[in-house]
Amino acid sequence: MDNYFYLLARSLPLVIKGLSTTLQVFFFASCLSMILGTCMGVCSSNRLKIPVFSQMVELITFVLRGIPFYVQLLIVYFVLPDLIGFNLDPFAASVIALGLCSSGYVAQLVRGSINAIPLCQWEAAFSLGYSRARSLYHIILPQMFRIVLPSFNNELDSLLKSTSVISTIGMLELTRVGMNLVSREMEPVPIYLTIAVIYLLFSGLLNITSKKLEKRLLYVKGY
Amino acid sequence: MLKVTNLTQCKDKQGKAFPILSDISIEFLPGRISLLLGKSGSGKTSLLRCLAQLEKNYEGSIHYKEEDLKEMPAIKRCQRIGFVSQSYALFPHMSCIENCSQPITIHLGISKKQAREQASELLISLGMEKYLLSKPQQLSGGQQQRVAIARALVLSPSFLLLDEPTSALDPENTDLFIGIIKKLQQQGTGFIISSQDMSFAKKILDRVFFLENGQVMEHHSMIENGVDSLVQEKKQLAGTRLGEFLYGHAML
Repeated sequence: MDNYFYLLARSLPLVIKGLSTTLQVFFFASCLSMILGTCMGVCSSNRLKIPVFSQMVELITFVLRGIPFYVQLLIVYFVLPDLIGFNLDPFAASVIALGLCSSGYVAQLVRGSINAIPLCQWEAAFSLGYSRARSLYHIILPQMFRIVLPSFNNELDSLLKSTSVISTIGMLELTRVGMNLVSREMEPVPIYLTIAVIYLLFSGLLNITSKKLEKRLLYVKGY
Repeated sequence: MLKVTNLTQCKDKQGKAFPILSDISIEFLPGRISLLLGKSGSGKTSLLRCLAQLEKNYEGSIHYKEEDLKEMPAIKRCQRIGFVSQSYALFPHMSCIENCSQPITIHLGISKKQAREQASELLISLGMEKYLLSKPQQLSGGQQQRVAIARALVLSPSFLLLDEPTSALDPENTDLFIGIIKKLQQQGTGFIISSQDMSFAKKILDRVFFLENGQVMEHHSMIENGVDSLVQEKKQLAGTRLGEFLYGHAML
């Protein structure tokens, strides 16, 4: 046990650095994913379809969901610079690839949740003279957010764990730090278990936050 | 006055155009209660939805005074016509007072505080003083209906359209509802109500349009015809489809 704490103390600065990178990538990628995914989901929902544009959005979400995240990461890091004419650093590439990949799933969640809101809510807003944008902002999105929250939690959870893949383009994130430590210390069991527990802790934190938000968004107790 | 001229509406069913409303021409008068009666599928709700502009795929025209409702801007339309659907469709994430005050804030550009005052006045006048801060899920069907009526009335429309308003009400709440609409009628609001509830219809007969297969088969105006008792009413309606619908063959 003493050995374990000694190992932990020695490795702590590196672990904190890796964790910090993981959390930064996670934060920026989830912001990108939520904003982009919500916009795409709104545009492809039944009541807000815009001819051609909505079909294009659906095609984009299909592509984003259909290509493995690892391949998307490689495309963003190695192919995109050729197309746009300047290099992306691994951090930016990781955020973009993770955000884009996750936004495809978020779009589907948002689309489904908006479609699940009864038509009479749109009609009530129309009868009161609300424009589409106002109906969306005041009536539909608040209800949508309550429906979609558990699925958002799921998606964010998955996004957090996907950050471990970005080590393949040279990002020194939590998993890569663990691998480096194992090479240095030759102690895979305590190191990998510690890394797993750290992921579990942050996943738990996300779950608790989501549950609290869900409770706050209850219309009344029990509903 | 709300004037419907040659209103025809068809819907697609398995690739064929199926007529829902056929060549309807009627006038609704302000300050009066107009009942649309008829069996299920007779076109009552479709007519109401066209009047509320929830469906615009109709031929013919609907004019409020001289203005075509189809061309009317949304803000103007909702100050002429209010609509309460069968399910009331209150916004579940808002309290009763927010449900009613938000349209005022948005359309009339007054402060939230003033809008809440106006909305609470209206809710209190409908007997909802204890439930201003309640969410719709905490209310009974009758209470939800009163909030929905208040919400439709906050922009002071000339006509209020109600789709099957008594379908979820018990007899006590139905009587309460009748009291409310008669009170609002006296204040000048015109009502257009679709219903197949015969006991409700008998209590509120004023101007009646009897629909069948998307057509107005009969039109009766009780006040103009001097009907002020049940015996007179039965006498006048004897032999009509409306009489048969309301009182059955027993009266004939």
